This record gives sequence, C-alpha cells and structure tokens, in this order.
Amino acid sequence: MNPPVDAETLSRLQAAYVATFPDKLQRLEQCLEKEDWANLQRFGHQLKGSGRAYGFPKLTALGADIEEGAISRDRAALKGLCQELSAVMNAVRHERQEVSNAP
Amino acid sequence: MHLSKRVHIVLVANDDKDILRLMAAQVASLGATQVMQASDGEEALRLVETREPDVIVCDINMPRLTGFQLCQILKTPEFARFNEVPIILTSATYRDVVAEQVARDLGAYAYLQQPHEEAELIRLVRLALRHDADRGEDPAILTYRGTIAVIDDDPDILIFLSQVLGADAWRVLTAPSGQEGMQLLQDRRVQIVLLDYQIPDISGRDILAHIRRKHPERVVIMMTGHGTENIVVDLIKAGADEYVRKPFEAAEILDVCDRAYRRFSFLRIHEQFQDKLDRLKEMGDYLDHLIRYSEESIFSCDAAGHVQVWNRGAERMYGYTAAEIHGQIVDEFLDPPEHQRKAPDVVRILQERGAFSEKEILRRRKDGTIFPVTATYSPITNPHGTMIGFSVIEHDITTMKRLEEELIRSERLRAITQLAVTTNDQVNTPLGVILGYAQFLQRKILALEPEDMDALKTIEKQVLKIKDIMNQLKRLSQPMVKNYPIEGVEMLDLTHSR
Repeated sequence: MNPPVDAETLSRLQAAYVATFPDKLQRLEQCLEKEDWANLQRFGHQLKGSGRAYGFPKLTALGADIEEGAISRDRAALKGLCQELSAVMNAVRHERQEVSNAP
Repeated sequence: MHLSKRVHIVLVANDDKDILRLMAAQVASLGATQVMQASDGEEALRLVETREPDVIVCDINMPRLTGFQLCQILKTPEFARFNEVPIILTSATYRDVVAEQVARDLGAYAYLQQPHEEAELIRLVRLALRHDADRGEDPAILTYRGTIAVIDDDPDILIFLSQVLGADAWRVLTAPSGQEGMQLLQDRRVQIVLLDYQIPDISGRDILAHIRRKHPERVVIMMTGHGTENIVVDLIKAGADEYVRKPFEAAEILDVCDRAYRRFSFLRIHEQFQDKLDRLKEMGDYLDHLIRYSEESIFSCDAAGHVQVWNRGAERMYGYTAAEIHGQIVDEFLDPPEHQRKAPDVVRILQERGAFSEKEILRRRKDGTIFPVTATYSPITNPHGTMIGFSVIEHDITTMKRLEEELIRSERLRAITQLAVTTNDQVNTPLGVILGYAQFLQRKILALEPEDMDALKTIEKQVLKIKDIMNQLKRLSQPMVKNYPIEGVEMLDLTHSR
C-alpha cells in the first residue's frame, strides 16, 4: 500500500482546488437559475468525485446530494444545498487564508 | 544546451568483441570524445575507478560482473562520486519492459535494445553527456516509471491525478474529453489508461472497447462514481483491467496504478515467453515429425539405457511398439545375448570420443531373428553440457548384405568363366592330339592285347568327357539369350498381301 500523498503536494493541490471554489459556486448558481438539470447533475457528480481526493470529504457528500437533487429535480433542496456548499467553501477559504497569514 | 569543449570520456563495455569495437567506433564519431573499451564487467569497474568516464555504455549480459550489477554498484553511497554518471544499458538478450524496468529500478539513464541503430546510440550518448533527464516522450530515457493517460471531463480530477501520479515518477498525459482522449491514445506511447466511465461526448465504455481493439497491450483502469454490480461486471467483461470507485484518495490511485503496471509488465513478459514457447513448440513439432516418420530406426535412451524415444522406424524394424519398450533397458531387448553391450559402455565412448558409428552390429527382433544394422550414436546433453543420454539412428543392412554377397558370387563366377574361355582353347588342342592318337592306335595296331585296347578306349572316353566339360564351360561364358514367348501377335502372311 502506498503512503498518502505528502503534505506539501497535498497543500499545493488543495490551494489550486480552493482557488476554483468561486467559479464553481457561480456555475452552480447559474445552472440552478436556468434549471439546467443535466449540468447540475454533472456538477454534483464531479464534486462527489473530486472532494475527497483533495482532502474535503464534506464536499464529496454535498456533491452526492446535489447529484441526487438534480436527478429528482428538487429545486428547493438544491437551493439549500447550494447555500450549504457556499458556506463550506467559504469556510475552507477563510481557514486557508488564516493559515497562510499566520506568522 | 551544447556539449562543452572539453574532451568527454565514454566507457563502452561489452563481452562481444565485434560489437564492442563497433560501438566504440560509433561513439568516437561524436568527436571530442575519448572512448575506453572493456570486455567484461570487472574491467569496466576498474576503468570507471581509474578513468572516471562521463558516460557508460554497458551490456547487461557480461561475464564476471553483469551490466545490472555494475549499475547497482555505481549507484551505492560507497561509489558516491559515480552516482550521477549516466549509464546506458544495452542488451540483445532481454527485451522490452522487462529489462527496461530493471534498468530503471537500478537507476540506469537509458536502455538501448540490441541490435542498435548507430544514430540511436549517438543520440543517447549525446543526451547523457548533457545530463538531459527529461526528453518528453523519449521512450529510451528511463526517467519515468511509465506513461499514464488520464481521460476525464472533470478538470479537478485531471489536475489531481497529474500531480499525484507525477510525484510518483509517472509521466501523465491528460485529455478532458473522449475525442481528445482517443487522439491522445493514437498519438502517444502509453502503458496505462485511467478512464472515466461517464464522459459526455464519448462514453468510457466505448473508449474501452476501442482500446481493446486497437491497443490490446495497454492496461485500462476504469474510474466511476456510479458503481453498481452490473457496471463492474460489464466493464470487466469488456476488458477493463482494473476498476476504481470515485471518490478515491491518492494512496488508492497510486496502488491501483502500481498494480496496473505490474500487470502490464507481466503481460509483456508472458507475451515474450509465449512467443518463445510457440517458436519452440513449432521447432519441437517439426523435429518430432521428422523423427516420428523417418524410415530409419531412431531411438534415444537416458544415460542408464532406458528407452525414452522410439520412432515408427524402430517399431517397424524391431517389432516392438513404443509403449512396449519405453522405459526398458535397450540392450536387453535389441542385442543378441552373445553380443550384448551395456549402455554405460556407449556413454563412456560418447564421453571420450563424441558421436561414433558402427558399420555393422547384430540386433535381435521381437520374433527372435538376428539381423545386421549400421548404427550412429550421438550424445544428448543438457544446457550445462552434461550428458544425459544418447540417441541412436540405425539402418537395417540385411538387403544390402545379401546384394553384396550376390555381387561377390557373380564376380567369382565371372572370373571362372573367363578362365574357362581362356583355358578352353589351350586345353582343346592337346586333348585333340591325345584323342587322335588314342583312336589312331586303336585302328593301326591290330594285334593289340584286349587289356591294351581297353586302356586306349578308356583314354578316348576320358578325353571326350574332358572335352564335354570344356564345352559346357565355354557355353557358360557365352551371353544367355532368353526366348520370350510371343503371344497375341498374328503374323502377317506377306505372300498373300498386295
């Protein structure tokens, strides 16, 4: 069994991933606005696949819910999930900013 | 980057003198290069220590110290000053990923398959002199463990896998769509494909089918976030070598890629063995056919004389079937009791003199009849040169011997008749004189005593007998004319024809 990826590589990967959060949130909102179920499903599916790999299992769980919500076309649930995702992503960004600003 | 002006030292090591000379001359053609030659691994190591070459071009299969061992030694901390000297390993024996993988693991710079192209050798030496580690797709440079193509429409996954696999010494090529993935697979040399199941433009399942058709040697790892029993069975049946469920962690993907590469290597080794086995089988079948259907008696025995192979010619000649004689001591079956010789004697002669022939020995058939054969004995040795048995090819010379005897008889007869012809003339004249005088005396001397007359008649009778024998001998020397009956032929009556 290979050891987990080293901290430095993971940190670099996470930084790049976190940098895409605003874009992701914007894309999600647009899809929700247009009720683009296919792309909402794809968005959720991809988030489910990538979140845990980058060390954010919470994003994987939210991605799975978004995918389910898109399949069942549950607008209300998706709206709530969108807000929850925004909160999680913003929290992650703040946390990382604080870490990088720490002396 | 250009080669510096100083004279570079390149060590070429190979136990084949012709190849060594050729490679040395080819490397020397680079210019500003001093080439040293070593004909075995130990000599190469001595030269490395004393002359400190800039590049080593080394055969893998060398006596005393193999290329692998030399590489291993020069990469140890004890040889720290040579750790960075690029080693180009070459081999005619090993092929493909098998040798490449070992060479890479040992830290060799590049691998060159023999027989080599001059341009390729020069290119690699030139690159090694520049210490150029990354030549993109250059398959000969052993910087990377292998190349993995990742086809996935999720850019986050592409970035993640590029980074994680790249950090683990894989060269990673990415494609964000099925179309681009297909193009990449066509253009680039790839060993492993990490393929997403759900790609919008072309499904991962279709790309998998395409790979199996066009590039069956590539190992395909399917990635899916929609794992169901049916999907797993379908993908494995469609030819997926590995299956990984999203979301995954870095360690999981590294493990699956390691497994995939081991599989890739195993399949290549298996392919090479299979190829060699097929060729051996083909040759074996050919030899088997040759031996099996030969008119000559061919059999082989182990060193103790137990029959191992018994062909149809031997079955016909001796009357024993292969099943009857297989595993039996050959002398007890074939040699007449008074002529029996033991297999160890044959083995001893073969060891002393090598293959040998007997112009005529006697053999015994199953029915007990004795007959003469010519026999050729040849040693059978194992790959280490130890004799493990012998083969015997025999030819029944009964007919040949009969013809030989008939020939001798007819030669003798011919000599006798020639003598008869010669003597006939010489003997007939004195016989005529004796006969004439015997008859003359009978007529002339009237007052002969009856016993004297009898004596003269006896002379006459015996002379006539000798003449008759002489005439018979003379007839023998004349060519024989056989009268063949003419059947079914009606003679034309020419007197009544017009």
